[in-house]
Amino acid sequence: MKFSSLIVLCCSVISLALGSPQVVNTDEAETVIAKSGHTNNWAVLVSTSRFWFNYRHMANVLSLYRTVKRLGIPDSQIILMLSDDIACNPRNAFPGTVFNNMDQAIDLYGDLIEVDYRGYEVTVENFVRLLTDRWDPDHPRSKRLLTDENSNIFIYLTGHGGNEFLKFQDADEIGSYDIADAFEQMHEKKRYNEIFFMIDTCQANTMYERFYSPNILAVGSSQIEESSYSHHSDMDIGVAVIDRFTYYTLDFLEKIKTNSKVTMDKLFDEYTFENIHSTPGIRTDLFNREVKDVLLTDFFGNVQDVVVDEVEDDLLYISNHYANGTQITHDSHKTLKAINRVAFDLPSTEGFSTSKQGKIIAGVFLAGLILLFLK
Amino acid sequence: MTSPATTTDSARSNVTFIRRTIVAIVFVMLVSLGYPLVMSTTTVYRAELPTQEVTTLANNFKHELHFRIPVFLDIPNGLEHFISSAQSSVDEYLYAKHPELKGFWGLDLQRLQGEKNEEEDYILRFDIIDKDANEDASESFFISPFSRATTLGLTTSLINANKVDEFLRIILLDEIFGQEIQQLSNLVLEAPHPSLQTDVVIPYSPKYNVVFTLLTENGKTIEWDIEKAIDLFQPAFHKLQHFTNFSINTQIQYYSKPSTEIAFNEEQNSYIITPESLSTFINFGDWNLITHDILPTINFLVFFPESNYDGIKTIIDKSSTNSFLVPQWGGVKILNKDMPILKDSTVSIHEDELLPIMEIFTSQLYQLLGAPEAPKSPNIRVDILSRIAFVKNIGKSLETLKSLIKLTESLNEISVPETTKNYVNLSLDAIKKSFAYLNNEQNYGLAMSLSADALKFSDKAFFEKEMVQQAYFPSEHKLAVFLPLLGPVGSIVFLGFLKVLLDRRKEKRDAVKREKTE
Amino acid sequence: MALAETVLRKVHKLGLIPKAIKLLPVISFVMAIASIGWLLVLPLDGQYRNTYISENALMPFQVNSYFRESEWNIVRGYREEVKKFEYDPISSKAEVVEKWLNSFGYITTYHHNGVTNDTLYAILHAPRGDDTEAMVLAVPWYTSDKEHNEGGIALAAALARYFSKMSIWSKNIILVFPETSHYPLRSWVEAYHTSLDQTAGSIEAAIVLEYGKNGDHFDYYEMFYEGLNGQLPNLDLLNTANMIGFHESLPSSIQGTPSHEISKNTYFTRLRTLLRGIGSLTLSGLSRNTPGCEAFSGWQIQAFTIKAKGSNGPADVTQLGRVVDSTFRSVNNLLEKFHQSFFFYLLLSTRNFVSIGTYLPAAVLVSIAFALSSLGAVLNSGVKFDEYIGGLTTILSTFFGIELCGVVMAFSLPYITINAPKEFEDVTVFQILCQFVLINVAVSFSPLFNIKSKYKFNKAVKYGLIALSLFFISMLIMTLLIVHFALALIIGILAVPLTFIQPLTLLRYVNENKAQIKISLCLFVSNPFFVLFIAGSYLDAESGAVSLMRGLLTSWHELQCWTWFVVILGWFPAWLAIGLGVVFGEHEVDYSKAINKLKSS
Repeated sequence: MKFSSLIVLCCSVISLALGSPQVVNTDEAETVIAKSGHTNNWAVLVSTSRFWFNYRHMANVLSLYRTVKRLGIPDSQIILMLSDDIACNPRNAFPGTVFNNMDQAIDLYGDLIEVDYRGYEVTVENFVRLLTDRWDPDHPRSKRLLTDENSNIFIYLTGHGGNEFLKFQDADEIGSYDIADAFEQMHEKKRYNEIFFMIDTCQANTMYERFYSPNILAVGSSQIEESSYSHHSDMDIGVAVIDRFTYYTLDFLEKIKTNSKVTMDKLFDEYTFENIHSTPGIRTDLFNREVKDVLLTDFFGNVQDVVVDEVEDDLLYISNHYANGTQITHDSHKTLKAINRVAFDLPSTEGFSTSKQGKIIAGVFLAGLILLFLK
Repeated sequence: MTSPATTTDSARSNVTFIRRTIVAIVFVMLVSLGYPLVMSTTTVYRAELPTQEVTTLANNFKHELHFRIPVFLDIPNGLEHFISSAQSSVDEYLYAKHPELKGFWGLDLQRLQGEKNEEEDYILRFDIIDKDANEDASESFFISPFSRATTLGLTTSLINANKVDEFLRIILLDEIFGQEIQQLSNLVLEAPHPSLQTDVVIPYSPKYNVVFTLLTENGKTIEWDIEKAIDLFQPAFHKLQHFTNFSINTQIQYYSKPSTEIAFNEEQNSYIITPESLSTFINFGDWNLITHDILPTINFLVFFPESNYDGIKTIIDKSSTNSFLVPQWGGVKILNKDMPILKDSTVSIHEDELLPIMEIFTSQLYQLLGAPEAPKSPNIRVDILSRIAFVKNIGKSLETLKSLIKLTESLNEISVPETTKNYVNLSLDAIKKSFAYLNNEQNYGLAMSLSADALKFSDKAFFEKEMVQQAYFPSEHKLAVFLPLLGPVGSIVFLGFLKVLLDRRKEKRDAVKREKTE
Repeated sequence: MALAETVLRKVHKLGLIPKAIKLLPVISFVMAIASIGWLLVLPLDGQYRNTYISENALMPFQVNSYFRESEWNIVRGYREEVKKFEYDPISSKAEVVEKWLNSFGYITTYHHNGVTNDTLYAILHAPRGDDTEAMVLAVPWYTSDKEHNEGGIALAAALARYFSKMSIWSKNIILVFPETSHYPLRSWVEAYHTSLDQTAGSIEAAIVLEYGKNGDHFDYYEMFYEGLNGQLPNLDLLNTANMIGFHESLPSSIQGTPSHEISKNTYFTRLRTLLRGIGSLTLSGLSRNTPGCEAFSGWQIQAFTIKAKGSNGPADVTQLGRVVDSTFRSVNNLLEKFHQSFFFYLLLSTRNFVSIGTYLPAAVLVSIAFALSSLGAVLNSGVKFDEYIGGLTTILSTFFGIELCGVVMAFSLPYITINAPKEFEDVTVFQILCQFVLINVAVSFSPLFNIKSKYKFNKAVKYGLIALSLFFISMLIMTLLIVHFALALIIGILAVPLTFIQPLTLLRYVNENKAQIKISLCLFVSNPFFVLFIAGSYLDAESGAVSLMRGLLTSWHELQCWTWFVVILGWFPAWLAIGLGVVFGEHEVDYSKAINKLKSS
């Protein structure tokens, strides 16, 4: 008995030595925290790679999905882009599940997963459209990023990347400029208060270096010419189940509760070369607040300031009574004057633009004719 | 050159001529046909936006708006001259304090003549208080909470002191339109808003979803008379019709636990929700509060805690109404039953229980919509709200248009389709029309609805679908499409051109030589 | 311009060109030596590479295989059963196995090839897969050592049972039980792609399993991977299997090098593996006792044979099962065909290889050697250019005639062999071989006897024929180079003595007899059938060269292996043309000129 308790003691000492996060004293935290000034939280979680052997990318993104949901961001405010359905892949030894750890403790695919973009819907175009909110008028609300100037957005990307690009679906790729420009468009339209951009790919840090819009905090898993590594494999599923960067992020976030006052710098302290095996990058120059003043729940959670007791009396009464004390009946207000509306001739959207492809084809065809003529 | 070579010579010059013609034709074709072709197929379509108009309008629109709010004074015959003196007193005082509002906002005092409805128009009545009858009487005013009428009680001493216009001014500028003046002044001066205020207000939309939800912690059947309660609510909604519209839904959700557990307090023998845990009270993960409608939603939750079944109250600490407001989202009321619940009986919440709750929700609705806190009269408040929202909408539309123009200027690759341009024009059109309705008719309702249209059109212009397509299509790709063509064609043309040039040079040299020999 | 001109002038001044022309035979020989030298350099440290997995999807040894001790008993059980019916006819054995497979849920069918016993095969349709791709586990009833494949059948049955219990398959699994891995398996593969009704999609990979009467334990496993006509399985597949074996700490071997030898990984073990690899690739398809992996060649199926060796060693039967299981799991992870990694390579050990770019120059050098010696034959024989023009028709028609004979033989001889009654097959093959040996002896040694023939080639025709033949061999090597490196290289090296003949004919004027003997020997040893006779006798002590000759004659018919055509239409005609040139060539020459030449050199 004594011996075993000794072991436990040793383990805990070791875990402390390994840098398990020091939970910040609440009072201390409250004094330093600057207000983020947001009223709602959104999360955009994207895995970009297909195929069974990229299991870990799906597990990465589902882990973060689970975390932000646990910390209170409603599903309607989480945009989950999942590039492949590994849970139902025939190679999955545990059909319908996705795990991010070989202990298989948490089924990330458990219940209530709302995937907004799946499989081949995860494209560069859709991602850019999502950020800039340029869609068909009938695009469903749940698939849109309906943020405003009070929104804090957490954006997480994982997949296979390179110097200033991130591959989508093995087919197309998004450049760092594309994301930077999309953020600028969001900034211009006041579609965010603050953005926390996190990316876990090879050469991830190159992806955020082109950003130029304010109030963006960015972290990446590896610098230029560096790979990002997976953390471990599950020998029963037969694949790597999570990447190192994401593993340590989650490891830290698991200890966070909805009302936590832990700040961002504590998370960043986890990003050491010993943990990640690559050089993580943090970009703060665009961000207006000090990292040590930023609550994790400013991005990962949905902690709202509430207003208690500023209630005015009798508003309803005076609204539905006449001065003489008789109640306004359900019908009587119908007699009130209706507003005239001014009509507009709306333009039809068709016929304005000839398709780009059509133009190019025509161009090639005509140039071919010229070539023929020359010969 | 020897003479027998003349025949070949002429043949050769013939060939040279043909070659030159071909090169010339090809060259002309390339320039006149090829170049425009390449340009037209590779350049991104960028419609010309009315940049100048938007910028000038955005910078100057506050000078083009003229609020002249008519206020009708019920004045006995013979005292008409009082109106002009009151008007000048009001103007003088207002513009001395708020010079920025000069020309932008003002009151237009008129004499009440004919039939004017106090539901529709601002009416001021005077009541002379007989000093003799009541020794302690002093001047008073009463702004009717049911209409737009105000009654001023004047004492004879006041009248004698000739201070009626001053009194009138104070009532008008401070009591009735005080909030409006303050807010408009802030808007015109572009002063930073007191942050909390704006944080609460939900962004403007011409229509909102309002969802009344009853949440219970267990699966026991519960009923509520929400239909009747909503009927009570209808006039309140209707009062807002100049400002916005509502579509109303109700639902009951069972097994809805808050995300943080509520602690029991022995001392008070009740469950206490601390202010800290309020911010995470709403369980966004489990409570199905999502509407898949594109309209913004205002949520009103009635939370019926399980402790009701044990006759124990659940109390929000430091709240007298046991309710709280979630900024930009909605309101929550914790409902405690007064009477213990009988075993196995179906809980029902009656209309009279819902009435105070609806009172709370009305107040919260006004806060969420950003209505001014005073005066009490909903009619006047909605007027003020509409006028302010109108100015804000115009400002926001123009800001969006400005951002759009800035973006199209800074991002060279982005395409600007014709639709965008059309929406920009529609938005500008709506703005101009709204100006006309405001300045000429002082028709705030119509101006407001036009400003909402302007906002909608400016958003449509900004969020035009086609504006994405070229954004991530790098120019190298475009070149790559044409390179296989440009390469061969270019080299052939280049070589032909070179040959002609060389021929020409040789010819010249020959000519010089011939001249020399001759 | 100027530089090139100065160089040219210098070259001219020093008379480098005539000197070079005179030295052509030497240069050619140096090239041939260099070719062998190149091969010898490859196993040196720094010249080869370590194997690696280039396809991310494979993920070998990243999954636990549960084919462990509990399955061992099942293997034992099946083995007892298999032992019992060892001497039963194959059809009744197959029936028993079929019953087992049916009980696991496999769909079983037979393939009738009309020659041997019917081939049983069974399909496990992947429960959640899309039913478009398959993996094959082929288990012949008799191993390549003609041993009863007792352990193999038992292991396959246990694996089949184990596979059927797993839900992770994205590809179907096919089990095939041919009588042997030779024609029965090959004809099954062909039928699978052409005529069989019961199929399970395109086959991505195949493993042939041989586990004779080794019992529960074996010393190490050996892998065979040579396909037909120079084809090899994708290196990723071999690496996958090897890495899995390595992680199972199983000793392994390739190219008949025992595992304790190969694990030494010295220069000589690597060289030995390399040379044996070239040899077995050259001979693949020519033996009836094949490991079986070549049966899958030509259908874009990556295949190898895994064979347990010895019966005492550290490894147990389930470990071999785990190698098969884990390899299948890796292939199962693939999304499409093997497309990464190498299709042309030479293994130096299980973990080292050289890729095509590195080893190709060896064959190129031989090819150049022949081209240069062809040039030398034209330029150094003292025949004027006009004379060649005059003799061109004779040269070409003679060569064409020889080729025509080749074509006739190419088709008639296999036809005779195949249609010979079974019991006379060996005799027929032996007779054909004898004919060729006779021709060899006759052509090689007849010049020694100075037989007067009515018909004589003049000098131009003689050297023209020699030059053309050498050039023909050079071109043959060039063409074969990439598709079948080993064959090209072996033919090149073995035919090198042919390049000595033309210089020797010049020497003949100094010491006629000695030179003539040398010429005859050169001709004799470079004859394809002499080589075949020697190699065949070495390889198969029992039936001698007959079995190799039979393999050569029947391999096209049975396996679509085209080595026979290369020999009879490429090597043999070239040899014959040179031989005839020597036999019928004119001897009269300008002695003085030749002697002067020799003296001056």
